Amino acid sequence: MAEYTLRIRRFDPDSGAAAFWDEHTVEMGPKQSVLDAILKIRDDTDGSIGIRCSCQQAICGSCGVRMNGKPGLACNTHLDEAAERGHGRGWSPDEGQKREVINVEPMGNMPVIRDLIVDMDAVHWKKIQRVTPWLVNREPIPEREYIVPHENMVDVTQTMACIQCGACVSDCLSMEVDPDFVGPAALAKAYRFVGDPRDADRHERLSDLADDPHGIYDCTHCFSCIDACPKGVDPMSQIMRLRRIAGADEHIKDPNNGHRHESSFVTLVEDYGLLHEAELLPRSYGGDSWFGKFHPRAAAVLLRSLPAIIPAVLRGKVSPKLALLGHKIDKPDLDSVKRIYKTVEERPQRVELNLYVSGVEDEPEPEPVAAAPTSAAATSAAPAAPEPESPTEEAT
Amino acid sequence: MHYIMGGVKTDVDGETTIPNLYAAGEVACVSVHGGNRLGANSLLDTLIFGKRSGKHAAEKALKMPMPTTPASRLADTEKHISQIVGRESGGPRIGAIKHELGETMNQYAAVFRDAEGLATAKEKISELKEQAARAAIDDRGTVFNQDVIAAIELGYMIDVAETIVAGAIERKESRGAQFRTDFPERNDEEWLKHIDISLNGKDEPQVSYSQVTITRWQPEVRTY
Repeated sequence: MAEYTLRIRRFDPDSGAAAFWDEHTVEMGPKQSVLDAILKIRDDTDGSIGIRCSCQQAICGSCGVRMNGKPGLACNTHLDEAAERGHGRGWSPDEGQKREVINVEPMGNMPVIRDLIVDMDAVHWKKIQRVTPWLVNREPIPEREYIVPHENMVDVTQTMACIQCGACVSDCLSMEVDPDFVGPAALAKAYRFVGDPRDADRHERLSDLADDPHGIYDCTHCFSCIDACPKGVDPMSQIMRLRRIAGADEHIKDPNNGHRHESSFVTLVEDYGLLHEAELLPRSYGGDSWFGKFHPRAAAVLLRSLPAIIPAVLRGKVSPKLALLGHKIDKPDLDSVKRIYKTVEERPQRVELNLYVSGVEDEPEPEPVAAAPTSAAATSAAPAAPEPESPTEEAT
Repeated sequence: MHYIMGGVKTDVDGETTIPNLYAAGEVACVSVHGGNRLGANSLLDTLIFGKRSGKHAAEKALKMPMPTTPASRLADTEKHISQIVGRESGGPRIGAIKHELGETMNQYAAVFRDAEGLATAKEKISELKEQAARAAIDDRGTVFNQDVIAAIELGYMIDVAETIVAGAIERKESRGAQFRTDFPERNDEEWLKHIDISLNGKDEPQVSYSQVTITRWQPEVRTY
């Protein structure tokens, strides 16, 4: 048993008062959950603390909260783990009786209704509705059941693990600046149907989400959703897969410059061996070639960017020579880069690289890439093979 | 135990004894499981009877005018809630009552049951029922008041516990999930029947019986 101090963020719209921190200290085992502690406080001391919960075993997705800054399920976060996040540098229990403190706050990006309860309808569920979260049958409907190949099912299993807790939505940085962003949970749900061979609307789904200015190209690659997810859904990886399928397989040219930006990035690294930053912006708008910058769209964006470009040149952050000619690297190095491109492009199937390797110490060694089919490789930690798409995944 | 064979009595279309009120899922008792539900057979409650209930209710609703709720009903409910909200402070805690109810049921009405234990449970539950009526309320607000919901739910929990114990006391035999150490044998002659429990406007649960519908499979001694 140990002593934990929970500082719970309270808000009651009835009271007319601002939100405040409500402090309670409990004696509990370090491996009991944050939810156990909150329910104990509610049972013993203050029944007015608002938190949604149901199953208490990490399957209903009701108790999403932020604990010492990190979103997750209160029921599967141990008290010692949550408290440790709050330890500053040099924290030691012996040093002057330092307290174990856990700040519990409602999730972000959603309006707070009461205490730890947020309005999931206003944000999360609205976005889930946005992506047509059901299977669209192919016509004519088969007489017998549709047998789905095992690899395809394995491929979408990761997204099916989502329990709709909203933890990823809570910490999505893109949604913080663009509340209309479809967001990590809904886009992971979109992949669940894009990856399903029974779905008839694969192309429509993808072009819809590519064309939407708040769709797949609105993700900035910050990894927050991957860190937040208690079920290993890795929403950001699913968004990147949607982009690859939209661009490379379905050849969708979106009006958000998303696909053009990605292909320009790939071409520039191939041609120069390093990213030619000054070329990236005009090509992303004007088109993926040296002539891209002469396109009216590129001219317009260059003009618009002058207030940023001029001071950068004046302060020496941009050298005109580098901006015009790009980086020069040694010929053998450039050849090596081109060889990597050639090797990857010659592969019959795309290797989906799971960018985030989590929990490696508990897992067996990943299978060699050659043995794993493309689609299934994404669910395991693929070896860091050179891969053409990975450098293109920058924000647009 | 993670399944309750009993529940709100329904017919095969999910309709309860209260006209136009439907129940489906684990809360319902269509009586297809007998004394003990077989593994995976709860799927019947969702997939089969869930569908049947939904369909039947929808078809019925289409043929009916929109019912009106008498204002007195609303007033009664409002009064009930404001009574809870207006309770004086200092009463027993909801959490403590819930905990004790759980402990009582686990000790006397779980796997092994006997007359003495069930009588103790009955007495304990009626004590808790009295306590629950004046349990402390910390939250008197109107937004997402989970404290008042907990107080209302506690009342329902006590009703269900009372019903389970009444049924277990009544059935003086062992059958399916009911194991009475004082009546270890199954007794088809006297007990091959349903026990129906209802308040019928009284304070104590009232017991009555109904016939078991037996079709293809005859009840047999469980020998495995």
